[in-house]
Amino acid sequence: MTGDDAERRRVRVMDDQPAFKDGTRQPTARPARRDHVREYRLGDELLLYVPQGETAHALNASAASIWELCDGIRTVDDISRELGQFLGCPGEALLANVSLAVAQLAELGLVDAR
Amino acid sequence: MAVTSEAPEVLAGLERLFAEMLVPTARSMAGELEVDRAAGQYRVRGNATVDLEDGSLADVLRCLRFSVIQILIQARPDLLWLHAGATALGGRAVLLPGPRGHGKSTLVAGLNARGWAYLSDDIVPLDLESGAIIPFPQSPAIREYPGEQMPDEWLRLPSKVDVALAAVCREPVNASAVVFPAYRPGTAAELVHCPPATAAVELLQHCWNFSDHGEGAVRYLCGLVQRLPTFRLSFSDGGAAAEQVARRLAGWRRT
Repeated sequence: MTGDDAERRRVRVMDDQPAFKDGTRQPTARPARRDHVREYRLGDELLLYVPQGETAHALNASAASIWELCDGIRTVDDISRELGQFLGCPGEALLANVSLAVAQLAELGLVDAR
Repeated sequence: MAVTSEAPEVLAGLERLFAEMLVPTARSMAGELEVDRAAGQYRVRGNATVDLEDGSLADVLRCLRFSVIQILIQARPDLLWLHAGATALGGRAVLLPGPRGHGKSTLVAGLNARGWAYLSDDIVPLDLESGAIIPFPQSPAIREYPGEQMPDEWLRLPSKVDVALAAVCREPVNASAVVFPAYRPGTAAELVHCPPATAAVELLQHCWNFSDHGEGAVRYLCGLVQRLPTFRLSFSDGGAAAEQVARRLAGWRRT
């Protein structure tokens, strides 16, 4: 990871992305954080570091909350509902954005879709 | 680091590039480079691979500068070398990381003109033990391309204008703020908070020798952005940008 040559992507929850083939945008998918990813908490944000690829990603507070709920047990639907309870809004209202965030985390190799 | 040449214009050019960093004799040597000239073209030999483009004086000086820095980085892998500018006031330093063309030199020159001491405009060695920025006062130079976005080919040209220094810092100084400059034509100078995780990722992007430190660099820089205020600065006028930074960090002068 050196100077101008290095290009690292950051997860943004609201980005519009096409649907992914791996099913991570399905409400029934059970995304799981990958073991090799190291977490560094910075206030309500997270920096995720992948030693093998020497890549680092910054997650804002929303993305960090989603990441933390990706335990391989909760479905994308469950994650949306839990975040909705926390934010005081219906889970369905968050489902599209949560699905998208999970898909982006999967695309970056940070979570496994199950 | 020693550079020898029988071409006085090469030595004069190097002396201009590293005027504040020269010593008459070295106690220990990180590397040696020798420049000679044959058939009107320069050639460089020594501890670094030097690929000249056209063998002109400007070309050889550009390559020598790069090679000297490369050799010094290799000689001190214990330091974390950042692509950044730095300047200090009242014993505290502001770190200005950024790729070329983002205004590091312009901002450093603007702060220097406002009483801040110069540490570097492009290369910052960071001592991970003490947390101090080590001065790397290569001669600062700025691009003059006012009012427009600089095209990539302009950034590659050796078309910088030397800046006279008002004060140079010669002692290591702890970093007390991080500002990511971004030259944007037509925008008023604006300094805004940069979220810490984003700041840490950007700092990692600007490590020259990340592979020497690996996750140690990640840990260190995460700690740094938790301790220090981090900002983004967009600007088109270097003087106004320096004024913004100086005003925001004005309390430093009193300490």
